[in-house]
Amino acid sequence: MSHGFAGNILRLDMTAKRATTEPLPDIWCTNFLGASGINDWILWNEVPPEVEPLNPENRLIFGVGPLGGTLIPLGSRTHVTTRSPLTGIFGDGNGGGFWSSTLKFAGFDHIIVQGKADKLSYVYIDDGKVSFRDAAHLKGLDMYQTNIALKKELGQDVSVAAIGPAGENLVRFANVMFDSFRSASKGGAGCVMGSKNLKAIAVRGTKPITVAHPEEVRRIAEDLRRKLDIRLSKGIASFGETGTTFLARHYNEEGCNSVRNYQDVVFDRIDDIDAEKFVREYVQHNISCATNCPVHCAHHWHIPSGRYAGEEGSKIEYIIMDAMGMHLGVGDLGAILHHQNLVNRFGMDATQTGTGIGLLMELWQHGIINEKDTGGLRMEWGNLEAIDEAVKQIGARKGAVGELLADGTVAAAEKIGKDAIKYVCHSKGLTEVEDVRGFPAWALGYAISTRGADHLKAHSQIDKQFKRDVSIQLFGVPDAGDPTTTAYKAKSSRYHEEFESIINSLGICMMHAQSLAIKSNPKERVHMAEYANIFSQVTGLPMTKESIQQSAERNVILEHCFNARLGITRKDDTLHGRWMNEPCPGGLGKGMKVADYLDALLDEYYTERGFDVKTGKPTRQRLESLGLGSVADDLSKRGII
Amino acid sequence: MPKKILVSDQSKCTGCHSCEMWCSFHHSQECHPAEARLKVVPFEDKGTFVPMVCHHCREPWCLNACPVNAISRDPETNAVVISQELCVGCQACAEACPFGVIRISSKGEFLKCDLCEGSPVCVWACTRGALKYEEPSQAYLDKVTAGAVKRLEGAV
Repeated sequence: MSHGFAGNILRLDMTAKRATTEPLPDIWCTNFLGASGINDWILWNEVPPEVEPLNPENRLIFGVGPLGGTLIPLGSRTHVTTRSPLTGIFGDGNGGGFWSSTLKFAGFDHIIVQGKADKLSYVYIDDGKVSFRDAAHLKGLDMYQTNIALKKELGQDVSVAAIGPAGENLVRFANVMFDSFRSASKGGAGCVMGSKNLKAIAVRGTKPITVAHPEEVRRIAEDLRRKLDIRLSKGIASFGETGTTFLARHYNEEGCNSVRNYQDVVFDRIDDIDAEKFVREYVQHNISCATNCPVHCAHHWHIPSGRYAGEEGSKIEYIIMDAMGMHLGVGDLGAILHHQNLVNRFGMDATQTGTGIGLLMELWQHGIINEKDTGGLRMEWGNLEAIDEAVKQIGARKGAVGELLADGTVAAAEKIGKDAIKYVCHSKGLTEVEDVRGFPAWALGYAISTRGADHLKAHSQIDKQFKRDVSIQLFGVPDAGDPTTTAYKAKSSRYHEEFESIINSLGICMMHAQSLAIKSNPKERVHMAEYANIFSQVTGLPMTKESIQQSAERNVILEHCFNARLGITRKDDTLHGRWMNEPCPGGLGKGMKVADYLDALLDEYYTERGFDVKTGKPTRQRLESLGLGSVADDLSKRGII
Repeated sequence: MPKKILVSDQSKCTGCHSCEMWCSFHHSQECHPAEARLKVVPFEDKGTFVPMVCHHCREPWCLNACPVNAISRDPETNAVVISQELCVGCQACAEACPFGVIRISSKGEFLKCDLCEGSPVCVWACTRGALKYEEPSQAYLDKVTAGAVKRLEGAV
């Protein structure tokens, strides 16, 4: 067995209430690297296209990477993969929290959940001993209550992955949350977990994780801590202070916030919600979201005044400031924090929740819907009572708005008809709020993202931060660092799709990875070669810059193959709604629209990937070159390639 | 040589558990926070994390309770340390410690903080200053100053 990994996969058959342990093969570790990549391989092998997302035979796969719970100070994340009930295609989400490292200390790298329990249950993993337990007493409890109840029952040192009422009620974008506040939100994993009647997985772990070369690992860990030290680097200190909330103002300056359902990209009330105000008036102190992270970018906050005065909670990401704030015309930070708490308590993706409500607000604005359609809710921009009630209805799947939005924003538009769909910006059924019209790298990234429109599958900070020197380092030319042009954006998207697969497979924090990738001092930057070395020193398995890139490419292509097997082709690798056909109303990319450049970028991207340019499908030749001949055979057998 | 002590400040602790990770790695070359010589107890719903460390008491309960004199004070570092050679595993020290910071390893060894030969790795790992290694007079001064600042801001 290799080091770094715990070495075991736990399979939970909910129907039979049977737990089995399978050894994690070394060859999977080198071929797929860990968490996200190994999840992809399991999903490909165990979920054929006949298995619908809410069929008990769908798999819910948890993965923690080889660096999770180790001395390497890059965070420790859990990757959750499934066939998504929201989009019907590949789905995955990634969350922080202490569950990831605790699972490894209990002796497991992955959990595969299959089947369906006869009644609501939870699973307790106590240092490798697994028991299936009745969860009747947890039914209907929100995320925070579930976490507290299980810790009371099992001890303060357990860590809990759970679903809230939204998951139990099969809201299609329900998430899985870890220890109350950290969520794996994309992919609808909470809905799949609910469909298996699994309320929670509580873990207690006290075993060690060994590393292959302790002296060298310690040296690397010390070096990384120095690079991430809030006392030594101004950039890291500022990020440690604000988390991602600083992006609201930054994106306002660039012009990529979504304001009132994509009608604007610059928010006029930014001063009321920006990071400086948040840190000054709301933050009580910083907290850490994962084991052994030296940055501590999360916060414990407290609302000092206004209608939600006194409420407390943990962390807010930029994306929620947009989805539950600017996107809905809300310029009240207290209200945004309150609605984040509400969405968290129900356990669902804030982005899908926000875009659903945003759609209704815009339809209301144009007089396309009225009180008869909304059960009396007045869906006016910034109407806090309406937002509050809408969130509660969605989570409970009740009421006119709840029934409309609980299957997702695209499904809601289809139910409404009347051209409502043209107000939804999405790709492959997943909505996102950041406006990409003026930023070709991000637009392409959304279009090719295997889980639908999303900024974390091929996401680059190189262009958004004008890092022309990083572009020269990676591609030999500065062009990938120019945000509003198309030059080198396909190359950059291909690179970042693989880079991000490495990060999600090693099981570490994307924010750390982005910070370290674009550090001002080129000698301090951490890219593929450095991650290959870290992987080798921790696991003892051979890995080079070339082989880690190849493993990441294998993972990325597997996700594309999973989608191809479900009928996804080039026509689906696109964006919908305003982003496509309406010129960007402001910011750096004023006047740009995605339809003007996407086709050319897709041509380049498929060529880079070695896919068929016409259909966007993977080719046998490409698959065989990565050792994925069996995947090519399966696709041929089904007439896909 | 001035006698420094290990001081924890829960108001600065962010709950990253880096101290436990680095402590365990320093002592066993494994990533094994469950066997660290200190423990951060999380109360995440309150946003509070309480580091529990060995205080190396002036009158150590553990040292006084040990029937075989396996616990002694290192004259160099002032650390109260357990000799694994002399220890008979009777648990008297763990029972006597009022803070619960002596723990039993999976191999049955009794583990306690030894201040890492005068340079505690947990303090190095704590980037927010929730753990400090300093002279008692300085620790007192820091605490009274922090209290004064709080009062000045009207928070007390």
